[in-house]
Amino acid sequence: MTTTTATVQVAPEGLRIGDRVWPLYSGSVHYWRHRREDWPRLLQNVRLMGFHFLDTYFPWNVHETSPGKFDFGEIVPEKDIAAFLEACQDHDLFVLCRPGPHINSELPFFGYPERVVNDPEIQMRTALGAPAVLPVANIPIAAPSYASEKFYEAVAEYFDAVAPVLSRYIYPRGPIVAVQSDNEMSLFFRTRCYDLDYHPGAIAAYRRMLVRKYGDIGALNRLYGSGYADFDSVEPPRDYLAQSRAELIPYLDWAEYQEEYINDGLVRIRRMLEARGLTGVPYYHNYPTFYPEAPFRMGALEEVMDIAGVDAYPRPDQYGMVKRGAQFTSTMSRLPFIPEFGAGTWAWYKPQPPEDHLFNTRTAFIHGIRAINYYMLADRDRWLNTPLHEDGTPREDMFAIYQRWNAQLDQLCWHELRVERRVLILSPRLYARLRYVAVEGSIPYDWLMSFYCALPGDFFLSTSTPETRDAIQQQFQPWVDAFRFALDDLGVSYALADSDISDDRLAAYSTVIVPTFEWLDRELADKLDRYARGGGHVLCGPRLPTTTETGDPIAVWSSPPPLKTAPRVDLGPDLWLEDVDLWAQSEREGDGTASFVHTFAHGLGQIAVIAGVFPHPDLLREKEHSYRQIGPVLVPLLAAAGVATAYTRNNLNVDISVLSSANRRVICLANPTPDAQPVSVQVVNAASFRDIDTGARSIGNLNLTLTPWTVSIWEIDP
Amino acid sequence: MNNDVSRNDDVLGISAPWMQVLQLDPTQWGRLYNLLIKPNRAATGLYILHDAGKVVTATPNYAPRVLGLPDVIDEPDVAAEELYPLWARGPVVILERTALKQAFDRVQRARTDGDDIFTFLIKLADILANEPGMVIHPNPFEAWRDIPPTLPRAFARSIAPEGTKRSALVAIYDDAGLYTSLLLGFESGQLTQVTTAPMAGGVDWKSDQARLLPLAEARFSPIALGLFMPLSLVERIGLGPRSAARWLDAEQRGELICRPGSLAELARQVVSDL
Repeated sequence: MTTTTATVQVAPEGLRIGDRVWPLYSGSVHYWRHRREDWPRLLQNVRLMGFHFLDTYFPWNVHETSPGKFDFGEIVPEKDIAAFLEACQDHDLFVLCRPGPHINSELPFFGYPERVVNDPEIQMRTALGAPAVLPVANIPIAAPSYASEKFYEAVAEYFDAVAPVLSRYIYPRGPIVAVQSDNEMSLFFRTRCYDLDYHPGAIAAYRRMLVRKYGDIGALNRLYGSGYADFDSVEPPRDYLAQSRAELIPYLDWAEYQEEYINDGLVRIRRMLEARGLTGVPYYHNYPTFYPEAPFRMGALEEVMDIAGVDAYPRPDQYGMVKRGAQFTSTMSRLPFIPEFGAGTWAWYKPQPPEDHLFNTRTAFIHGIRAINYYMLADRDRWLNTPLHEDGTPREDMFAIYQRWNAQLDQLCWHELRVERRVLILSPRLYARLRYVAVEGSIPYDWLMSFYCALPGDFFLSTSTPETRDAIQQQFQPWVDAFRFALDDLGVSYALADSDISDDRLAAYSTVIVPTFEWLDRELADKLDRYARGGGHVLCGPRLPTTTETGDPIAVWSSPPPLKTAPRVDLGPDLWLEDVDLWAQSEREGDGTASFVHTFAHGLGQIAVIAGVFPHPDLLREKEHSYRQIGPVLVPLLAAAGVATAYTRNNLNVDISVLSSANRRVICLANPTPDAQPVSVQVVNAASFRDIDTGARSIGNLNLTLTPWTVSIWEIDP
Repeated sequence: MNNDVSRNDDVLGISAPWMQVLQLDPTQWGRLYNLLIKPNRAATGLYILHDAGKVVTATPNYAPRVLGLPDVIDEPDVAAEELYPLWARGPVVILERTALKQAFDRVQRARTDGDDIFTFLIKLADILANEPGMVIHPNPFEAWRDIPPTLPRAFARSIAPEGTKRSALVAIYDDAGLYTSLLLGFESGQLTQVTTAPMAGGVDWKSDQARLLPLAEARFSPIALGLFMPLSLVERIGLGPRSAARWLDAEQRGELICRPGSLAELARQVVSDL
């Protein structure tokens, strides 16, 4: 999306500003929440921590004094946007500009004027027609619909007022080097398929999408098995009631529309800002989830935004969540960026000590994140425990953490490092979309209910897929997770992606592991076909796909049928496969024994299917670690693709990541547990290490004891 | 927190009338979080969805297999009670499919412009407590059944009537001294400030009032309610509107100290203002 005429461009290592690429390490400071005389101290200490970028919102309801009237410092000095941007420039800080209109920021009405969210014509609608009320502090709001024309008319009034001020400070005239289009545009955290948005404007847009997709109503009727007279009579689904494969299609279309709804709103906001002079710099957006699946779509978003970022406010015990998100984002995004990463905490959450902040931050970086904005750098109303007090003076322990980490990032040229990975686990978007639609019921306030008790992510998933052997929506994730955990235990680093990954990026991996069932979308089937024909190794299962979701045959994956089936095959004392297909052994190994692993050549490459369903991790005695018992099956398949482990370790509780650039290699050891973990690590072709924290050297095996919730980083001597 | 900034209504006017000041000691706030919220989050609920008694699905999705759930649930109330000890990982929630959707639609329609979060949550709890198609065991909403949504505002008005500024302090102690606290500021019936009392110097719940009350008054405004109690009492009685009587009993038995007035007096005032 970045044009060649832009003065600031996205690079894999950061932002290219003028003729220099700057690593994007940033932090949030909200000018209007601090006394103006404290601004210099705040900005000076942001710089002293080693940051070159600062992020701030420009909130609509802070600046609007009455409808159509705005204060940009004429009345309240702290609202003087121009003065703040000039102060940033004076302190050599680039600015990430976030003009909304959605702000959240713990502001009443999420930063919208009260009159806007109280307008019934603007409000989002539930499937039964109620306004979509968000139970947020301090005043619950009825969320606005991003399909409401009246909403955009109101937004235009604010942009007409604020954009002329902001556009004066776009680089190189001023410090603004990137613009965020809206904020966590997420259906306001209510991403349940039959919850939102049923605003009349949204339903009209859904019908327009159907017109674009099917052309004439006859084509739609043939696929749906329906008898609609025209597109205007097509109603969106309001509950999941599919009983057949054909009946699934309208639900998948509704999910596709919701993906469009999110992206369309963001594009429209971007165009409105560009039309008002905010041009020449990259635009980005921040998903509210660290692993964006349906209704989010990172690949599609980066076709209309320069960067699709992900937000995260992790605790140390969410190490796995951060790792997974970083593995995905660093594979899918042109610049893996976290526009909001927790520093300090909002008022109604538990604060974390400085060392936990360091652990969380390092976790993201060692698994591939290369750009970050810490939210927040300075205390303010409703946000606590950040590196700077509200008046800009340092909170010593937090300040020191960020100052030191920024220096280490610079010293190691971290922005040039890449995680060494040759294996990719790919989640088909079609299955994620199916999981999104095959939901029998939902609670709009699931996050609120989580104060009562923990809610699993697979809330009220349907237990079967119509006219399909497996319950795809329930079984594809355990299939993915089994190989994730098995690879972790084998010491094989891997990337994560979805179907939107390009052929070029796919070709960088020796092996692609992908869950497949009896039906799969043609686009992905063709992509995997091209990959394998070009020499790649595909490991799939539990079934070889034979048709698309609409029933068209997929011929390219042809293979002889299995000999027989078995209800269960044990892989070890704690792991088994269910509903297993058994083939004659492949010719290479053939001894006539039936096997659940079926391998066949495909072009220059190979396809292997592991033909059974993995049990849910909660049914396993050792949960994730039980999956290691698929390891012996996996090892020869990886070896055939030339994938070898880069290290061995004697303690599987220690997670390891190896990153390298043309000039440097580092090994990172994480202890994501509450107990000390002694470990001895042998790294292939490396025998001398330097601890980046202490400068200590280690020769031979790397032997150390990791304290709880720590990441130890060692530079490998060439 | 710089109080000069916080009093600058022009700067932070957008935050008004709620929580213009929020400054919590992380240690004390962490303990409050552990006391009030963490135990709930550690539990995993069993959610069962049915359509006129016929089980449609359950969450977690492995639960039916583990528990051997029946295909039909005739009496959800009885089933929830029976399943609770079998599940043993958290509460059991049995929801009728249509009721689930309609109840939350009613919740959202019940909001009116100007409702604050407390008012809205009481409305939500009341609707969910009265919805026959939603069986929750144990049911936290029961405690809020038929509680007037105006209760929080009546409480705030009782602390700080129109035109006044007053503070309320809750201080909880363990053997090591002040364990955690909340110091709330109210103006004209609105909560405007939330903070914690200084830990250093806190000794025990019977004598710390001499230190904390003047300090709180100097920091914010005259104290309308100061509560001092041991941690064990909070753990024993718990929070919520139905525990009010037990708190009054504890005051009578001298298990907590209330200054300057009494809890009973405050309760009468709140009820008369509903």
